[in-house]
Amino acid sequence: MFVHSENLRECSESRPNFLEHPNSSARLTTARGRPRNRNSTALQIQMPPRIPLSARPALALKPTTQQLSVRTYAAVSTASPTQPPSHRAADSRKTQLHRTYLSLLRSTPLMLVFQHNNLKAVEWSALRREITAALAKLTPAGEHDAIAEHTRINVIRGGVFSAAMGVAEIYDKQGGKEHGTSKEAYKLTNKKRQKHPLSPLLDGPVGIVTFPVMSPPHIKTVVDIMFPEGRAVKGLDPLALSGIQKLILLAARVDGHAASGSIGTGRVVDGKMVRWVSALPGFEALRGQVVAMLQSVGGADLVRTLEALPVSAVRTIDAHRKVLSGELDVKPEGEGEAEAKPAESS
Amino acid sequence: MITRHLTNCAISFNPFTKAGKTARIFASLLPPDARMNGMKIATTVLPRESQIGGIVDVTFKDGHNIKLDTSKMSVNDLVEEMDRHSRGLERKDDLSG
Repeated sequence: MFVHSENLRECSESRPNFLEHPNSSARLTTARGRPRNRNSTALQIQMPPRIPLSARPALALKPTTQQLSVRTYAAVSTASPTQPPSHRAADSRKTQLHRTYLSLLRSTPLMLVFQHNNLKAVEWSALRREITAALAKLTPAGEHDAIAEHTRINVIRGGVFSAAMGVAEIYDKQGGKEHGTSKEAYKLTNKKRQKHPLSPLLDGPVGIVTFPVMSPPHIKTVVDIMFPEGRAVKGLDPLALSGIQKLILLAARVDGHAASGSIGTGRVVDGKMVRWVSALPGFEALRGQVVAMLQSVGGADLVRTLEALPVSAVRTIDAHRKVLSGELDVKPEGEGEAEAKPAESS
Repeated sequence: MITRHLTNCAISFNPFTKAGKTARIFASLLPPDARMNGMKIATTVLPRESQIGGIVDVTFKDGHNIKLDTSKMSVNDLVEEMDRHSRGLERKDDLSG
């Protein structure tokens, strides 16, 4: 482009009436302020430049200071050098959502699916605030709670989520080698995902709550606030209260996440089961119950029995080490074994 | 959908069937400030094994009651049923000034 305008200037000097380019008035000078190509006579007798005017009339005739407004859409560019080929454009919003949903489905052990009926923005924010405050109360002040931090409420796009769910539940189960947004994943799951038990739930305004790990106290806190049975939790913001009235717990998806090694085996449970799970005590409390039970039913014997095997193994190996290192002066080989044997039996 | 003549909505549905979709979508058609304006809305989620797809029970300002099994209806059909009575009420309102 710049070369063109430079050539044009040369021409306008030699033949002023040939073509009036708007840029020709601009002085093209070198860094020293001296006009460029002054002494090159070869250029002055050069033929007029071959500018394909018909191909780019706007560039040739309009002032070049005016910016060209060419609208481009991110979704239009399909081939990306850094992305593997995907069913839809790799950089489109839908594909990005698909990736997000797929990663959620693969990483969360519990996902509550709910319907939200026309909540206002203020109601959403009040509700989120209340949940954050309630979850913060579960840990002592000053301590970081990673579970609360990664518990999220998302409003989803049903169609895209359904497609992602198909990949997580069907394609992953088959041991698909391609990535989640690939053409192959789409083709293999497009029809089958309609039969998945979650698929009828994904019509209409639907949202999900995802938990990073299975923690009954956290689940209970969220379920009690968002989907109360009977009366709502006391002391909530009136805006949050009016938002809660518009939420309906539909179902939940459990398991099927990477951490448990059970990808593709997610189960769908109904709201009743979710409430039952949330009513369970936490893992610490459950472990405490087991310990208390063992102690009351003669736990000392059990501990001795459990310890017997490792202790005997350690003794045997230690005896063998001593024999090898010569700490024990056992000359005939048979005696070393004879010594190890009683240790084994003890 | 004309919702300002509704006073009472009882919606129950089984979310695990396609038949429950109509009742679910009907619940989402009620405006955000419906409860503040005095409409009573009760939604019941039926258990998973329930044979009923969805039931919508609506009472209008004049006491007229419509109860429909929405399992085989589309959302548009349901809205049309509701609006048929609502339009009559609107006409009455217009005539009385």
